[in-house]
Amino acid sequence: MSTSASTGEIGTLVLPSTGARKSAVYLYPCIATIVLFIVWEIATRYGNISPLILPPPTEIFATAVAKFPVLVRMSLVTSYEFVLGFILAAVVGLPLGALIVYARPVEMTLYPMLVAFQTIPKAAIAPVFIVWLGTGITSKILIAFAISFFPIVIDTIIGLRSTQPETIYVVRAMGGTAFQVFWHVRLPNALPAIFGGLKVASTLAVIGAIVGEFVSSDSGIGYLLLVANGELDTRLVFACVLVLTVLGLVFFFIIDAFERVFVRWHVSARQADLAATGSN
Amino acid sequence: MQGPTGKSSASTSRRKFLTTGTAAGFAFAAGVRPRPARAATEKILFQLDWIPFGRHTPYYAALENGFYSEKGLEVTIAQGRSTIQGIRTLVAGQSQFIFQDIAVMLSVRATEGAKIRSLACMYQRTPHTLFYIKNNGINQPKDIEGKKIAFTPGDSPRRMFPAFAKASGIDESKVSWLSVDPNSKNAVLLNHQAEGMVTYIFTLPVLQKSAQGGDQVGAFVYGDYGADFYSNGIGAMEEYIKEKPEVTRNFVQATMKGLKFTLDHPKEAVGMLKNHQPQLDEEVALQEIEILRNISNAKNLKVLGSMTKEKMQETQDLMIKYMDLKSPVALDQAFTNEFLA
Repeated sequence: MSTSASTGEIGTLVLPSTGARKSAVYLYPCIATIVLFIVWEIATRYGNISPLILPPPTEIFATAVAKFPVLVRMSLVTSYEFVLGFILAAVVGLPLGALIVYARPVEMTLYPMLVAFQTIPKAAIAPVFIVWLGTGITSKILIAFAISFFPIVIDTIIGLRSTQPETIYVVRAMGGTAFQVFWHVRLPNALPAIFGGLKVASTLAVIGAIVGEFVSSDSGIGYLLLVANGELDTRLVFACVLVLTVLGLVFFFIIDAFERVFVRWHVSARQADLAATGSN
Repeated sequence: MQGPTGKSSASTSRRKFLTTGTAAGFAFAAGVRPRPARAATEKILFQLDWIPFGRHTPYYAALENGFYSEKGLEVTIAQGRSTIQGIRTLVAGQSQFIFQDIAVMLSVRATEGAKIRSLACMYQRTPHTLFYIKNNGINQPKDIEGKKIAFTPGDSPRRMFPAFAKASGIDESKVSWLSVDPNSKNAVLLNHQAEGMVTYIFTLPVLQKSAQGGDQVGAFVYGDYGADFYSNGIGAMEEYIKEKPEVTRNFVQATMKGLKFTLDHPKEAVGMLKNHQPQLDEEVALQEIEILRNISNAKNLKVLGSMTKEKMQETQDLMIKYMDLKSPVALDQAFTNEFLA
């Protein structure tokens, strides 16, 4: 089987070159988004839609530019809330997931409680959080944590449990300790699932911060959105939604970048180790 | 068990059931034709300004007494989250009538060009209030400077605050604002998470009842400090009024009948309120109705809910003077009493 570098032929299957395929991944959604905005613009300009209900994109962008300093200031507050909430969720969720996999008594006690906690709609208990923790940033960080930590725990458990038992037996047979099994076999195997959980959690953390801001706040994009809504400034409302979308996307892609770096590092470190111990 | 065609009897009987069932269903649906109502009922969504409380009894009383249905109106009462949100539902065509602050409707008409017309005014004396906890360093409105006030974005006490501030000598730039969900506003004040809270005077009984640790709740009513204007009343879009004047007349009169019934028979009316809002406290609701009696100026009005051009003018002048309203509107179009009598 020959693979040509320029046309990427594999057998008789002809694929576009890797370069073109890579840019298509970015190009297609960009084109689709631009088309969406064009349709939106035309619909609002010529479709008799009140700007109080749905403003045209050009006006939204103009507002975003005009209010840029405020939007940046508020974004910093909200970002601080969801990043910290997320980090807390990861710091608590990852070890908790591992603990549940390794300690059956912990699993039997905690797992049902976690599921029960997860079914409580956070939007319903957010006001309670505010009463307990005040109207400042702490309550938002904790709401973000509460909403986002469950996917991390679950996906960690799933990932750690998805190792093939045969691989573990081989390592054990060769005299590997439990920690070596974890570090060289279970963990690398679990990374895709763990990062899946982290990515889901990243979007939930943003939601958590906003839910907290909606209940009570004096700063942040959620606060600005509500105030804009209250002043019938629909353009600013949409500008806030746009900013939130961008923040969420950036956060998601940062986690994605981490995944690529981390997985490559871990897997190649593992392979280097195995080579060093001469078991390759 | 297989029949002659090779199909099992189970699947044949299932098919039989489905076909006869569907046929029966069609026959049933065809036979059940909607009986034409004696008069065509008009579906109305009546958007309130806030979460329903005792002050909203008149509308539930009108509903339960059949005042709406006897005029051919099928009314659904929707709870609200703020005046602005309510106005938005009107402009978007989701609601046909709204119960919102007239001063705000006027300012929205002036600044956004939305053609909302006021048809009746229930809160003729301004109920907008700055609540605070007594013995906490606040003795007069100016003391709120440097402190935090809880509000809900879009509510009219926040929107009209500049008028109150200028009239009572508060430097607005020294006040910080805390946005709070409508359901949590009372708690935020009572837990001392904010030093002040703006809402309507109707909330006083609820606040006093739930105050903790011997706290006393104080109230600065905007009207007492020189910011007196028309507050909540019924509003609708001009287009709709033009298109359906009879429906408008029927709705307005049925609603005012509900108000009159509530003021004359408060206990009965509260009973009707509780059919829809069972979680409300009867005592508190009755206290709110007494406040409503005062606010609606019922004793002095010949026709309940009627508005005067003078006070409309004062309302608009207040906004021009204190709130920088740059484009005043012709008042004759902004309100009318014609549907009241």
